[in-house]
Amino acid sequence: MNTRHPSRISRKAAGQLLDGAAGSSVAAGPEAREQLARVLAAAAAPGRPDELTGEQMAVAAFQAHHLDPDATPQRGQMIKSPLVRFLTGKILIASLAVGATGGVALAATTGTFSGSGSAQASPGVTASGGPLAPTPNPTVTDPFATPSPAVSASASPAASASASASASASASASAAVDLPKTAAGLCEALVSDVASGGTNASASATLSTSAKEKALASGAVGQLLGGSSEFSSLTATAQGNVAVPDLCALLLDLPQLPQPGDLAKLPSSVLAAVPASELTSVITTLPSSTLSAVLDALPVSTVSSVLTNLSSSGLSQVLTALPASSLSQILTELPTSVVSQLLGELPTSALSQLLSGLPSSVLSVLPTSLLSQLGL
Amino acid sequence: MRWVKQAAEALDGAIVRAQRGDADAFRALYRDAQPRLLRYLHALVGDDAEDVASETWLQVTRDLAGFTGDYDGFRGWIATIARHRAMDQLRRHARRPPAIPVPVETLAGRPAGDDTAEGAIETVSTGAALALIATLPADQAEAVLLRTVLGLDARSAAAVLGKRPGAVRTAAYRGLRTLAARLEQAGHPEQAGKGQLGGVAKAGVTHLRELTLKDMR
Repeated sequence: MNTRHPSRISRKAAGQLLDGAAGSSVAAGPEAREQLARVLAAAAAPGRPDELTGEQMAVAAFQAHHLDPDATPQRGQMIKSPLVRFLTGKILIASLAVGATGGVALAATTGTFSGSGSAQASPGVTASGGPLAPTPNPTVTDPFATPSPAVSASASPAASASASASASASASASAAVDLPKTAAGLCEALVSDVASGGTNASASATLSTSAKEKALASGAVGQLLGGSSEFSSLTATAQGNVAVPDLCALLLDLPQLPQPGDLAKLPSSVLAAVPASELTSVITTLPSSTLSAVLDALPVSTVSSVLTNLSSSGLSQVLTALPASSLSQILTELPTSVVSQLLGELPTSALSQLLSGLPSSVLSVLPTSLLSQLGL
Repeated sequence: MRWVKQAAEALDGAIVRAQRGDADAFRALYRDAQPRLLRYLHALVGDDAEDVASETWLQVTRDLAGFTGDYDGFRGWIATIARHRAMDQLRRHARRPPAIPVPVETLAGRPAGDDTAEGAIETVSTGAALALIATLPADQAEAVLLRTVLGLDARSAAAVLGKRPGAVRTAAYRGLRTLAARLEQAGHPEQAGKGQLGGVAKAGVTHLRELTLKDMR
């Protein structure tokens, strides 16, 4: 016999649940009401790192507005291309950890929140246990509870970068001192140095967006990176000097860089960290040479995911755009079942054209059913 | 509960500091409010939630200097902005259905195919909870989300929705009553067929796809 009557929840109990203040009185109620309390607590559980991937961009927009109110992006400008979205989400957060901007940024790379301990990290099971409701999550306010004097008002980005690295998660805690010199701060310094010919590290915020882009595109970036240890953490984050302009363009929220075609410049380890679904959405926009370089740089498993995610027209476009050597390599590296699935999606005419340029050594590893279908 | 009060007071102070241009203070506000916004917006615009949230923060940045109030008021303020931007988004994509907000197999926080409802409920994940709430009619889902996830009282939630507090209380009450009934069904598959939490969530996805601008008015 069912003795539970959860749907008879009283208005008073509902109000208590919604206020998240009922606590033990709700927990003592019927089972389904306990479950309801758990559901509400879970809905209001502390923020996850993947919910904060836009933080750097939002803060950058905030800083830009306060330095130059007219420079605040207009509505719509913050809607990012898939490329920018995944880069800001997956790569920039990693770079933020280098700049030690705080516990949450660090947590984004480790998957856990730091700073306030595990007590607040697990969603509570009572209605009052979900730190998002109805009062602020102590995890995110921790920096205010424990302001850190660790970062001094240093004038040198390099000095403060090392200071913030040693200060770790508490570096951003102090609201009273200078802004922590994050990777974005180093990028600002880099842009400023380039724009001023390396003679003056004053605020690059006074530069226009186009001037910043021009500075990053300049050959002087490489010289500065090579000639100074000041930016070594940037170089390390970007895994080489080449990708630093793209990294900085993203950190500084510049609209022009990087173009999808610049994907090939990014280190393969960075590319490999990008979700296949995101790569899929940009891969059909790549020019042939870049496409080839990107696919070559990716691990086989990622290539497999990317290609199988494509629509049949997208797949046809990508495969026909590849040089025969790259196509051969891909077809021989991928598991036979994947090759069979991929090629099976193509129209016979496209398939025939595609395979006609391949050497027999490659054709020999293809599924015989496909070859017989084509009369090969 | 002292820490809760201290945390609220800390963010009260953060508003004032952010209004003076303190980026760390703004960051603290963002870290607390952004997850709330995203979860609310997912119910309104699905996969466009991130974009709408970005637009919301841009407007917050521009208009923060004119905001007066504490952190409770701030949450209500940004929820109002977010809702307006969500309506803009729905107008831009008139009647375009929102994308599925949460993969069904992740809803119960356990592998797909494990349909032990009791266990699923015991370990209910945030995604599962939000998907379940999204199964409600739009007015009820919004009322529940504003009250629980945004942490607004009935009066503030009513201000966001442009309704009377009584109407919001009723919508939230009905929403909770429906959720409780669905949870009971999920917990008793022998009575409700295959009505697991995952099944409820699947129904919710279908329902959510029907959310339109009209529902928000």
